[in-house]
Amino acid sequence: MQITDRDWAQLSAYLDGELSGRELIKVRKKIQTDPLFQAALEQLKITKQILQSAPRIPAPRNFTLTPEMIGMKSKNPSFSRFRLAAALMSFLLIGVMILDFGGTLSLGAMSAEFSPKSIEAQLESIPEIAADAVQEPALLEAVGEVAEEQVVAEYTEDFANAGAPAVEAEAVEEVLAEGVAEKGQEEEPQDTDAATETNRAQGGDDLEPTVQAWASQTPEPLPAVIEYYPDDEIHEPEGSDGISILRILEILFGLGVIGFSAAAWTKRRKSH
Amino acid sequence: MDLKEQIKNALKGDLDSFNQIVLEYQNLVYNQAYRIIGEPDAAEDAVQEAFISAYKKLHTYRGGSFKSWLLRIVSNACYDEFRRRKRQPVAPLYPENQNGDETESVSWLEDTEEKPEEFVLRNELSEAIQICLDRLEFEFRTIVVLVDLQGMDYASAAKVIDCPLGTVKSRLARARRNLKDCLQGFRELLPVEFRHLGEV
Repeated sequence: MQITDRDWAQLSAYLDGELSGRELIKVRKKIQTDPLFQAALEQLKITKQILQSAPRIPAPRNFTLTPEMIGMKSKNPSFSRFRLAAALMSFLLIGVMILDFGGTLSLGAMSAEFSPKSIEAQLESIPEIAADAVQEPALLEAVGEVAEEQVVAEYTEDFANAGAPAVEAEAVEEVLAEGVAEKGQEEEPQDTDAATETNRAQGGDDLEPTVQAWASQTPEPLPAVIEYYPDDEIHEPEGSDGISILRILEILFGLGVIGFSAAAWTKRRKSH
Repeated sequence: MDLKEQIKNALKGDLDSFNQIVLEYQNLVYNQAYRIIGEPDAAEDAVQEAFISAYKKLHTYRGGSFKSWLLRIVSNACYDEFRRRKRQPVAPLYPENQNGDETESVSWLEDTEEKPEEFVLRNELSEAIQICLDRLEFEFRTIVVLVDLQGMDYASAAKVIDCPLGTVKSRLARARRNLKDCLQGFRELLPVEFRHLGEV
């Protein structure tokens, strides 16, 4: 009796325990009764054992996937951080450079105003300004009051010492008061001269040197005006000496951009 | 981390989790591919393609046996590789002798840098099996590898090859018969206990 393809299929399934019910009973009966079936089953069993005993071949390498294999974008966190930092530094650098450039423009205008030549011109004009200021009526009046008090005090003392009559002293005081008041009014120099003449005529010749001395001292407020612009402040404006803060920031941000860009590039190259 | 969690994380785009699965299954998958294709390089290509395909189609896994799901992808990748190699013939697996006839000896696979006796001891059974498997048609080869080498049951194998149980049963029986006949030619290479494999 020949074993058909169907019988082989039944024997193979029986061997694997894949038969049940009627099929199982039928095949089991055939195997018990037919030596041919027994031999066929034995050969299938051996074949299966040979296949199962085949050595397992280890994978020659790891088959782990990379982002590039599956078309994913690189998610290297370090690379992303460095790239972000480099971008941030670039923006900051640009911002600082804009500030610096804008500042340079406005400083350029300011520096023209405070250039050595303009400062010298301003310094040269100071005496003229001061002289003009001295000629101002209000100032002159104030100065005149101070001078009046000084002169009155001096002449009162002189007369007291010389033992002059009280009437003469009073007359001198009146004359002096008029003369000093009119002295400040430069618009009417003739009046001052006339007063001086009057004083001389009234025996006040001793007053002339004092008034002349006072008149010669009037330009003395100039130093006070010059002190307002001390040389060290004029010739050394703030920030002009050494590197400015903006320049330092530019350097720092520039170095940051270069550093972070280089780090990001290195990371990306390593990941490839 | 268990398989379910790895799959869950991989579905969220965690490639590291999927690579853990790859490391766990790569030997099984490579054996499947190597036994079906019969060439190490082609098997490597098929395995890599299979894992890439598995990652991209992971959302189609609906539970059940992950091994069956993965081996189905591998079988398809092997089939694609098999067809590709058929269109672009490579060096024949069976070398021809001076008369142009195929030789059945495995001695042509011998690595000359290795001592012959060591080589034979290490590879004789594996090579004999591979030669006989290569002589089977692709469909029969796949089913016998799934059931006898990977130890799958008929139902799982049927899912892998997407065929009814009856087809699995008939193909497997036919494949075993052919293998039995083929292995008789390598009787001297088989372990002693298998050498009485006779003709029926």
